[in-house]
Amino acid sequence: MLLFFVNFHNKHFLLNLTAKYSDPELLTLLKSKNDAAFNYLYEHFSGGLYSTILQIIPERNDANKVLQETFLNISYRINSYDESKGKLFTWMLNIARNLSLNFLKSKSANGYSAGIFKPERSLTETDNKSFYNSGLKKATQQLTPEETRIIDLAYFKGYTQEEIAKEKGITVTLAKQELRNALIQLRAYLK
Amino acid sequence: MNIQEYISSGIIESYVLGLASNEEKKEFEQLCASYPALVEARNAFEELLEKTAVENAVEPPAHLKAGVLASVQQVSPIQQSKIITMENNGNPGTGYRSNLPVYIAAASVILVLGCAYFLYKLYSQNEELKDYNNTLRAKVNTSDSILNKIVDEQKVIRDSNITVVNMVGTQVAPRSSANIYWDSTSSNVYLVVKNMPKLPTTQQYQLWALIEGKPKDLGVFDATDDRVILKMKNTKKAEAFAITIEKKGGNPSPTLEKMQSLGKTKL
Repeated sequence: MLLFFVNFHNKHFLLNLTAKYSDPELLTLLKSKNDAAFNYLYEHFSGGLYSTILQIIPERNDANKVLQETFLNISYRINSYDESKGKLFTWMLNIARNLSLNFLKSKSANGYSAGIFKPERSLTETDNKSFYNSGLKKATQQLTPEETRIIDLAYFKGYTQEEIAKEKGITVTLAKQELRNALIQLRAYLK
Repeated sequence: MNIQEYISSGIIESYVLGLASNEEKKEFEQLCASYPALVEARNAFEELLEKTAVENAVEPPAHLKAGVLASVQQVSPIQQSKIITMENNGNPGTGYRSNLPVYIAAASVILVLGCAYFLYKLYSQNEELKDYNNTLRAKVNTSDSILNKIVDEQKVIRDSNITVVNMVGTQVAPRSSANIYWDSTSSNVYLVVKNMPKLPTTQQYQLWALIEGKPKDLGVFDATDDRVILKMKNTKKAEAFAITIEKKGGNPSPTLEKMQSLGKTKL
């Protein structure tokens, strides 16, 4: 027992000292359910994922739940990650974003604190005062109001292209085009 | 396809951020397989996105980490508890006090693992029940519609305007029998098969109304039909009804030597 516990701790110490893993190395370790690899993953990426979650879910307690769920999902689904389709971080980021959007959806479906998530409020009141106004979300604010809006609907609210078209009263083709143009502009501000 | 144009169309950003439609995704992945330049451009945006996220990282509360790591370690909880039992047996009594914090730590790790596992179980059970509930609801709906159909059919039989014609077997088929329910006001004709032998798949029964000695086609049916009452074609007049065996789909005029049963109306 003692052995096990010491071992458990050592692993954690070891990790903090290790150099950066490459994606393939990390992946091999993760797929073999290596605890150390998960620890490394958490150390290096939880902050990036957490800031993205907070950009969608401003409530800290809720964001904490979603972050935990995100890592649980990463652990369960690591074998379904396909390297040919993109980087590990992209995959994790999409999991975090999807879980955040699902959380918002189920929360508003359950009826509680529905008011918090009304688009106008989360854009104006909460954005200005908080730390989660960073990264992608901050970059969107350099765009025109129309571009900001379409990215907010698509990325931070999870509207499909059809839903955006409906919301804006335009065709799906046009919605797709506007979204792509806005994303091209957004990218310029990330550099 | 001009791949450079495609690369700069915004599709990469849309795909990587998870905003592409299923069609767009499929197309993008197919093109990635044949255009290394596209993969390179995708990687570049992915790296930019990762860099942005990492640079803007928000440190999650420290207390989260232990829970997260414990829950992902639950893949081998049985192994861990085995080790604990063995150590307990190996050191009876000795160092009990000094090991106490370790036991407490271990117990809490196990507790967290247990809770995480339990929550997960509860969640999947709930999902299962939801599925089951939906299946049941679908079954109830189907049963309801079948019941309504039967009730409608029963109404036909109870209607006082209905003439019941008892069809009896002919010499060719002495055991064949069926009832015709004929509503002479609305001209509706319903057929209830009581006993009609099964036919080869190339053949069907055909119902006729005899009007002034001439046959009128009232439609075809199978003896195997599991419906209680068959709605046939309407007729305003009929002196008698007859059932014959015809080729599948029916004939314009009856094959009288294959007449199976006949019944005269009482009007």
